[in-house]
Amino acid sequence: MGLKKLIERCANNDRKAQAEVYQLFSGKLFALCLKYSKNYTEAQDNLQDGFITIFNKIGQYNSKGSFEGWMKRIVINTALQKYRSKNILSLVTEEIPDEIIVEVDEDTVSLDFLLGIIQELPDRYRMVFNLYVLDGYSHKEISTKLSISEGTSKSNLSRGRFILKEKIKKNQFDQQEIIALKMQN
Amino acid sequence: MKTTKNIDRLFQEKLKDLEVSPPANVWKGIESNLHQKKSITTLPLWFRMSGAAAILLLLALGGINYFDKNSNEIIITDTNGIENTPVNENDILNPAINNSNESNSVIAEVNQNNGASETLKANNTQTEKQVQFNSTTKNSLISEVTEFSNSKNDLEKLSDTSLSTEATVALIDKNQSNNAKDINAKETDAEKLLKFNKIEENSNSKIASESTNSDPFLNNSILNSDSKSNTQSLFNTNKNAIAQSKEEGFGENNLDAIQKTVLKTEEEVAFVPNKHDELLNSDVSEDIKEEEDTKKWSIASSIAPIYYNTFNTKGSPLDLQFKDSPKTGSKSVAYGVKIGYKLNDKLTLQSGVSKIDVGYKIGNVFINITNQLDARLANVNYTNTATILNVNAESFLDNVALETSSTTALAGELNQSFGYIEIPLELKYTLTNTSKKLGVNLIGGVSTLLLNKNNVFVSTAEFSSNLGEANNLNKVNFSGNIGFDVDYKINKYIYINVAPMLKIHTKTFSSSDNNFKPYLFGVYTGINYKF
Repeated sequence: MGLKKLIERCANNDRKAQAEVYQLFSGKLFALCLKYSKNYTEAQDNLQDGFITIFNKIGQYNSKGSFEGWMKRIVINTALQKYRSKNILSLVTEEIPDEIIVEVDEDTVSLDFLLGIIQELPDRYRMVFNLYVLDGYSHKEISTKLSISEGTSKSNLSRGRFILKEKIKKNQFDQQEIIALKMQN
Repeated sequence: MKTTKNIDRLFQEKLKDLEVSPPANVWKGIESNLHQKKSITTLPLWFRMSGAAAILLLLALGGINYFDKNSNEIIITDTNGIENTPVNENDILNPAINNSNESNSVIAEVNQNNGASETLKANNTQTEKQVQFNSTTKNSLISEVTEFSNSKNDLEKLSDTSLSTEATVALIDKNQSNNAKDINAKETDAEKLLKFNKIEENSNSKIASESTNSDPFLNNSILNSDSKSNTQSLFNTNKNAIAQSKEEGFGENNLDAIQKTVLKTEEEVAFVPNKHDELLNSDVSEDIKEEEDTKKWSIASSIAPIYYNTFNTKGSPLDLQFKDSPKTGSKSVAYGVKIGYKLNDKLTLQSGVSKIDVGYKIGNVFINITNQLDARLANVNYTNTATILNVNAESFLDNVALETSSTTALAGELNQSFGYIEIPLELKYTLTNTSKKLGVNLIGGVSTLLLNKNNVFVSTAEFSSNLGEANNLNKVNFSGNIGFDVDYKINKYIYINVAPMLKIHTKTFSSSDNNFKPYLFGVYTGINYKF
């Protein structure tokens, strides 16, 4: 109820309400941007552009679905749009197994590290991985969103997963090395 | 502790409820952009209008200043001419009158006596009748004049004592000689008067002729009021003198004669400038007319709010599927310059250059992302990045929706915008008299339009994106123009006009316009300068 009123005020260009909405959701949406962007600066840009779109189009939010979901879609679209305008799509078809399992000590894997390796992924792998794994889009939806075939989406996902796994493995190995060195000393 | 884990689960769990505070400058960026956005949507029209208004204002002010300067110059040169000669004459007469300010102050003083002399005036008019009766014969008048001029010296003395300034004396002298002159003119007996008042009369007649000559260039009202107040004050002074001379025991005849001349002078002086005014005014208006007639050319800055739409809403030049989609016309502003050449009193040929931006929106369209080549709009050349956008009319969507995921199809608008450099060639027919301040004209003509902007883009709640450009817009097309024009003349150089015009565009599209018939309606206003 409070949120509905806040949204209405935002639609009337009430700067205070806009600031409040920003306060409420910027943390989550910035995390989203970090995942979809290749670095911190780009994430900042995406967040800014996303919020500008949100506030400009907030009057069109029909209050049926979740407001947060609506905003997330806008932010994701903002990120995708940039990616689209930057890259000419190329077709890659590879067959890599669906499920990738990685040996990991969850205590030693930091959040920053995980975020970092997502950002390091090639743009489209990052997009597909994010859309599919973290935001629950189907391959069919991804294929239309990114204008690729479902097969490409699937293979991109697998490639992404594979790269991530290798990086985690290397990280785990490095961590063990550090521990071993520490023990020696 | 090491565990085996599905990589998806690892990321999902770790990143699920991740929240990261963005740096503070992001909000500032958003805020400033929102502000900017707001000003972008509300300012452009205002901004452009104000820009144009500023230019028009500058032109107008510049023009007014220019012409003001001109008229000032005229006044200055002419008053100099006037001042020079009379001053010289007055030098001879009396040095004190040299300074017009000084004499004015004296006049002011004298005017203060008006109230007192008002009663005398009434008496004077009574006596005047008698005088008129008495002075029907030439001889009697001449004798009166003689008496009057004889009494002049006495009067001088009297007024010396009563007003005690030399300037007043001079003024009285001047007035008396004026009186003398008037009578002289009537009696055609110049010699006699010249004997009495040679120097004074000469100088006065010179002053009179000077002022008459210079009148056309002078501010008539100033001159007239001056001369009138002069006469008034002089008249009053004389009456004072008369009153005093009465006390001193002057003869009735003398007084009558003086009173008569005084009154006559007033009449004459009051009458003569009026006559001059009439003459001068007619001269000036004739001059203006002549000048107006000789000004064939005019140049104008013009600005117009325009509205662009199609006569037939069941049509679309972009793709047949949009033929039934709702369409909204665009409003924008056209601006440019206009040149007119007057062929004759009734007809003016006008041309110019102006820039117009037009466009329209197709509503109820749905946009999704596709890689199907056949989904492209028929008459749009897509840009590289836009190839993935699939735009469909609502009616069309039903067929496609099943194949593509309808959840990702976003409702939005399809915009087509294009711009032209317009070169009109129009004939203006004047319905009203050209000498009137307000004129009504009919305008008809054609325009050549050169395409200089061509853009098709989509906008939805979530994004807007450029699609490309229409491939069926003609580089050159034409419009038939009709309208009427009301103009208002500010002065002989400048007039403002307002012209509501309807322009019907033809040959806008090279092919497959699907019955799209665009028109433009604009109210063209401008400040025109004739030369």
